[in-house]
Amino acid sequence: MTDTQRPGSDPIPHAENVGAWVLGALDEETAKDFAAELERSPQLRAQVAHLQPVVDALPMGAPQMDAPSALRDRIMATVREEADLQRAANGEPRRARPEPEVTPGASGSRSRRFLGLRPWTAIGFACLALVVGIGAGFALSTDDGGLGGKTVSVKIAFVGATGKMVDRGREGGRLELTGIPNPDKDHVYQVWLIRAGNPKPVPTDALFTPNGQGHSTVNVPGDLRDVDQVLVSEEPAGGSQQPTTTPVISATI
Amino acid sequence: MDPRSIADEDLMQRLRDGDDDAFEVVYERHGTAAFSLAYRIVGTRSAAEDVVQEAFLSLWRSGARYDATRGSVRTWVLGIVHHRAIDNLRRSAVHSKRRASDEGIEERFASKDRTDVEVARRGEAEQVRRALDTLPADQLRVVELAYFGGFSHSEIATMLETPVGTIKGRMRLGLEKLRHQLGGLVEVTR
Repeated sequence: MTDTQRPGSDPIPHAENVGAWVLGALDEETAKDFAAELERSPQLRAQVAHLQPVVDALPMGAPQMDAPSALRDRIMATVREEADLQRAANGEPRRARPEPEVTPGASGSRSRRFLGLRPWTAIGFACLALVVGIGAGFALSTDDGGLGGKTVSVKIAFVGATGKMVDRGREGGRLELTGIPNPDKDHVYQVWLIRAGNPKPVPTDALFTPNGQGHSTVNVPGDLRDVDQVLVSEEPAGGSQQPTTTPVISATI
Repeated sequence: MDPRSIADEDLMQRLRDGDDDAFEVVYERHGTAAFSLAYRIVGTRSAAEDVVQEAFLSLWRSGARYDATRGSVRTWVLGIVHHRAIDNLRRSAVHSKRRASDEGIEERFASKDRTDVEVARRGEAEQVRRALDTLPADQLRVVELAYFGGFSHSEIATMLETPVGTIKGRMRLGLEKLRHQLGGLVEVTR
């Protein structure tokens, strides 16, 4: 008898692969066959269920180390920011919170890359994707394509992406983005405006997808003089009346 | 209600509703295990931080995908971390170099007061490592190469110049033995 066969019973197809399957170590082809057999065979499912808890416990076999507190600060800053944006999208007020403590030396090697929107206060210290006019909130720019607007900072949730926005007041604005991934199939990016005194995002008809190199230049329509924030979120093709996903780009005017 | 007094599964419901305080508690409870797992797999602190950051932000943005019938929140969280860490590893140029750095990883807990939860986690971690230590060397090797190294069974067979069937057998026998050694722990972790 082998461990894949009980006395008096037929061998269970693929039983020899159960260990490698639960460890995620089967080659692609074999894994495909195994998955198909798993659909068919309750015996095989029972064997997987028998060993899966062992693999679920394996992470604790790693020597336990404290995660750096700066890592937690970065993650929470992004999460708080996105939660606030989501609340704004739902017309709820932002929550008042104390400024996060700054951990000495926290920027360290981690300042090279970030995923997610950064806390406003950290922008000046981080190599966030873009950023012109740091500290002052916005600044006059010479790189506005001769349009005469102000270039304002943009925060982008994609690692390695950069961008800027030219604010031309009553003439609208222009977002220039690079390194933006394609949205999911049948989805586009949509631009939203948050006007002063009304936290609910106003939809625009500015829908876009980046070109093959991840570049996009997008005209932001409308009078921006009373706009506090320009947001971009991924939406179903054709756009939405209110954001259905967390904004991935924001520019504060 | 203070989210710290809420069970993980109920926190996930809050997290689905965009509650960042609930997310913070989930991070507090599982961040250490997540970072430890990521570090064990990718082998450098900065890469481990990247993995944990990406994993938790993914969790925050897709909390709705948690299915309580398929296991605990911790299993789900660590599953995401494991998946991303292995991806990171496969993309990394230091894949082969990393294995040599596995030796001498020092277990470090800061001197801050430990909560009961953290003490329990530490005990659990010791139990799993003790169980791993009972495995014959050849079984331990293949389990570690597969789980922490992200190698497929055929890659391991080539690496160890051993027949594929033998590798599969060692994986299975090693896991069976671990299950026996871990006893009730594996039931609890589901």
